[in-house]
Amino acid sequence: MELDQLKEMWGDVATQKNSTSGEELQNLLRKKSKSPIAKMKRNLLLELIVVLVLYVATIAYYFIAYSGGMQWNAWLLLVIAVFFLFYYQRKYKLLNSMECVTCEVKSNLKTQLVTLEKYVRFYLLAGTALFPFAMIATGLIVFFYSPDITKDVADPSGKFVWIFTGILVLFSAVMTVPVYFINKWYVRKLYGQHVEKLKTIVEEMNED
Amino acid sequence: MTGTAEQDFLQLVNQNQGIIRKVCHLYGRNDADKEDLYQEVIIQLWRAFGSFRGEAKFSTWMYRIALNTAISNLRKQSRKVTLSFPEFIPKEEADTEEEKLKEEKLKEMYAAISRLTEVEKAIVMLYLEDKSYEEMEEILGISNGTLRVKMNRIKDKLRTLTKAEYHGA
Repeated sequence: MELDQLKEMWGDVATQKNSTSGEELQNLLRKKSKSPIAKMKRNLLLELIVVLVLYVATIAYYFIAYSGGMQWNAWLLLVIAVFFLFYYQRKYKLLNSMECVTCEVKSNLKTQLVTLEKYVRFYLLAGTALFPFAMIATGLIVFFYSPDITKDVADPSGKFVWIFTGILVLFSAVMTVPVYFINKWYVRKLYGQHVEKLKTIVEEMNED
Repeated sequence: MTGTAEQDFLQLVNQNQGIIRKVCHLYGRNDADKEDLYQEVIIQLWRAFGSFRGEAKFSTWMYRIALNTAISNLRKQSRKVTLSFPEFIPKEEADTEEEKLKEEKLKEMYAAISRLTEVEKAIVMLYLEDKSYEEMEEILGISNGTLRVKMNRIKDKLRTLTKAEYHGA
């Protein structure tokens, strides 16, 4: 059979059998989108809420429960929280510009591919860069929080603090390397298949 | 959006439901997948409805959204693929030899279309919908000339695929 013969019959495709009633359609309008981008936005919002709750609670705790040097922990966490806010804002902005369903299919897919590649790069680099900061902050908080160590901190030369900080920075720097590769693997697992699929489709649409 | 906008939208969708069903039929891997896709297309249409200014025909606008949703939605590859045929193919036994042969050939053609790439399926769908190359260009963003070349290649590919189906490949 030729395609043209199918064309003659195509107009007769019955849609009545599985047509949706007005009421069912109305109910569909209230449902949440299950598109990958909508899911990514929802996950991002959830992540942001969890991070905000944890950071705000910890920062408040340090400000209320301690005074003097221990309050530096709160300031440190506040700086990291601000970085996180920039991180989420950038990701959200990229997700918002990722699709244009009303655009021509080719331009929408191109936009999606370019933005998704930017998103993946940002996810990988920012995720990796945040790791040493978070690690150093956690290390310092544990250090100052421990009553045994606090005695040594009182050492007027302050030598122990610097040795500890030095080791912490070095350890964080070394650990950032495997974290980069783990992040890379994870990001590929999350988005690799979709990026490849989009690339193939866009290439096919560009072919003459 | 207002209740009037919702009513207008529902009326327009009702009139053009066939377009969405056909897209879902071509791109859905199984019945559940088709229903998910149908739901997603409706949601995307509704979200975009506020920005519809009528510069393009409603059907063109609808094709864009339906195809964009179908092509760019990443659906799990592992889902079971069940090939079903559109409703115009009689499910019951065909009466005459001629009808049986026609039904068989239609199934072959439909099976062949399901083996095309996502872009090829979109072109075939618009061709079957009797869209002009200009309209196809407006929907897909692929130039008129390229579409013609692609359409010829698709026809050849379908010929080969239906022969392969016939010989049980």
